[in-house]
Amino acid sequence: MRRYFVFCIGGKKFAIPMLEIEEVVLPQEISIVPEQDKYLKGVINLRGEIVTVVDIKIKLGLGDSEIVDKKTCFVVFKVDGHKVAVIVDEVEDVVQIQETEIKDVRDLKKTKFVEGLYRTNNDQLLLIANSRKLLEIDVIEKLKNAA
Amino acid sequence: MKNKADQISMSEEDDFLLEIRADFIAEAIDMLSSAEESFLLFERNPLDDSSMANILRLFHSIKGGCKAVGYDELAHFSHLAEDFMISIRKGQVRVTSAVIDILLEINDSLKNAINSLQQGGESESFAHLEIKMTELSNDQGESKNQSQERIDSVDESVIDDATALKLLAEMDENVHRQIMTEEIQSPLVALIKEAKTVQKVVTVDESIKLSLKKVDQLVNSFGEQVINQAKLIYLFESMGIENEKMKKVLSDINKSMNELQDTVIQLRMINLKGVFNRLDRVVRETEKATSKEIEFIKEGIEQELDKTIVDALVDPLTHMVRNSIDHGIESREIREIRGKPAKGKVRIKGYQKAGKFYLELEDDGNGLDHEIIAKKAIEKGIVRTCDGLSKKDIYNLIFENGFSTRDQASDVSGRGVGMDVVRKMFTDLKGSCEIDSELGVGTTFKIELPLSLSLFNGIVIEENLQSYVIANADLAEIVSYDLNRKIYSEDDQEFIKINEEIIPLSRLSQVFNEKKEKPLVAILESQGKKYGLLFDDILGQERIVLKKIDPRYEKSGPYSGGVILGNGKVALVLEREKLIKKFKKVS
Repeated sequence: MRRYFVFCIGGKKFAIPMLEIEEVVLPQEISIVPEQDKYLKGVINLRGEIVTVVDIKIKLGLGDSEIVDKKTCFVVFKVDGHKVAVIVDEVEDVVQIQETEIKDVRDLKKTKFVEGLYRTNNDQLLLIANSRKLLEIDVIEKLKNAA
Repeated sequence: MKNKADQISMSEEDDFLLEIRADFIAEAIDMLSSAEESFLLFERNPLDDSSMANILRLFHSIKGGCKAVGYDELAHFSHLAEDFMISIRKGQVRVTSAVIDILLEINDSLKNAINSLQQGGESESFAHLEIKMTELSNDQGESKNQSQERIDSVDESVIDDATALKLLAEMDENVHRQIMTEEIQSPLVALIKEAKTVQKVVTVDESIKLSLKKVDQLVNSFGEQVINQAKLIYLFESMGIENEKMKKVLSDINKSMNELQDTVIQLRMINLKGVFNRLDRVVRETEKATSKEIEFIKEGIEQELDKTIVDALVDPLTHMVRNSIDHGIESREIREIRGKPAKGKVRIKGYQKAGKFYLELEDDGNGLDHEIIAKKAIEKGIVRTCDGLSKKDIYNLIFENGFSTRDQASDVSGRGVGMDVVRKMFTDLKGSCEIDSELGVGTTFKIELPLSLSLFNGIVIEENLQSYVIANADLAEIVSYDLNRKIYSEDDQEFIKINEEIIPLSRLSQVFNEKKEKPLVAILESQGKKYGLLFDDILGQERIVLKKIDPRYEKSGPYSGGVILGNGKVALVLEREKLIKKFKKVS
């Protein structure tokens, strides 16, 4: 059994291993970096650390996170030491998932980021996403090592 | 319970061993670099005994240290090396270039071993060097035997009592102390005493060793304090209260922060000695490989620069010095025909000017031929035409991607690293590099570097409602952009005329903020050329503590990092060289 963090983006529910979630912060003004990939929203000051904010809705082909309503928040991921903030429509829950119950869809689906499906007791479908791919951790690491 | 206590004391012991090992490693690294210097001096002048004496003293200390902290293999090896050097000093092994090579190799192996120990690895095997040492001692030992006898018959003994005592005194503190305390009144002992005192006086240096980690911790805390100070000022200003006492406190804080900043930057600075010594070695090796004789002049060895920058200078400078000797300096015959001294001259000079650090590398060799370079640059598609380019502009094309004047790479300079890579190494340090040359006379490289990478003063500007920072040292001036002043446009590149000078203009975002009637232009100067950056407003001066940003931004935009402003928002720090690249793309 592992704990998963469940949040909602563009009407879809995603589950990410709790270990990869650092914290949830209220939305704050993003410093925009001009002439960048649309997916890279800008940077914020996370208690003295400069963290990039990404809009994974764009990656998932679910549109753009433009409207910031009351429930919107920034979920700070920490994957292999790299912190990235993700704009999330709503934080749902933390659930216990038996990993053998996750249906592996890596061969079935075309999507690059969703690797598994899980049906909860109350018949909700959770998408298990690969955060390394979703947050382009490989790209970050490659650039860091090149520097 | 008892068990647990045992465990604790065990781990304490381990900690203690780890600690003294770390101390030893730090010391040994210093001693080895000092030894390398002496080795090179020794090579140049084997008759001067002081360099070998110094080496022996250092190796003796290293040997002792190794033993004390339980690096037995290293201790054994340094012991052998010490013996080998004693036999050199005694004249039992003749000083040939093969011997010098081995000595330097010994030094390198020890350095590598200690470096790998520092990183928690194992030290390498020294077996091959040990064999070489014995071979050399034996080889020469045999042929020496006869000459040795000859010398023996002239001098009664190679190593007389006086030298022996002096040797012992230098190597062993105890003997020295004995001599000092026993007060044997003999001219010989007086001599030793004198020698020792002189040495002691020279080595007295009022300094302490600090780990870089501690210094960086201080830099970080200072950085936090800078942000707090900015917050405080922002808060005070936003309250809109006129309070003289408060103002006085804030200005006092600011004054002491200025002093602190200077000190903190100073703490991370080291001089160029290490780099220059490494280059000495490079010159020596290249001299051998190319059979050219070089006079290597080093100036400004005492000049200081941020440690991170100094460490990163070794690689590009090594390459450049090799290049200068291999490609720049002519063969002896050609030099003779040209009426140049037989020894080629390579000079490196470091100095500070106007908040920047400069390095100049100069040779009196062949120089560059701008016609050949122009032809090559056009052939390789780097430029379409060289019309309108000055000689200097053409020389600087060698730094462009994919340029290399030689079709055949030589063994010395190798093929791997081009001048484009060398330049990148300097721009990665937020510096720049340019070349000037005169055919037949020589070539000069001028490298510009910042004094510190992470702490500097900057100006906060606003463009399109976003804040950015430019380092003061990168800024020549700020002028207001007068729409009435004629702007020349050529291939979509805008220009502005300031003081009869025509300067290319650029802006950060392609969207021009029409609302601003009077935007400003920041004039950036790099290697004698000016560039204008258009922006909306100046928000103020700030002490900048550079923070890392996502490498994706650094790669695609003209940024070197970010900074947190007094209002808590993030501003991106603009990097001059990256901005200028943007201009070049346009023009």
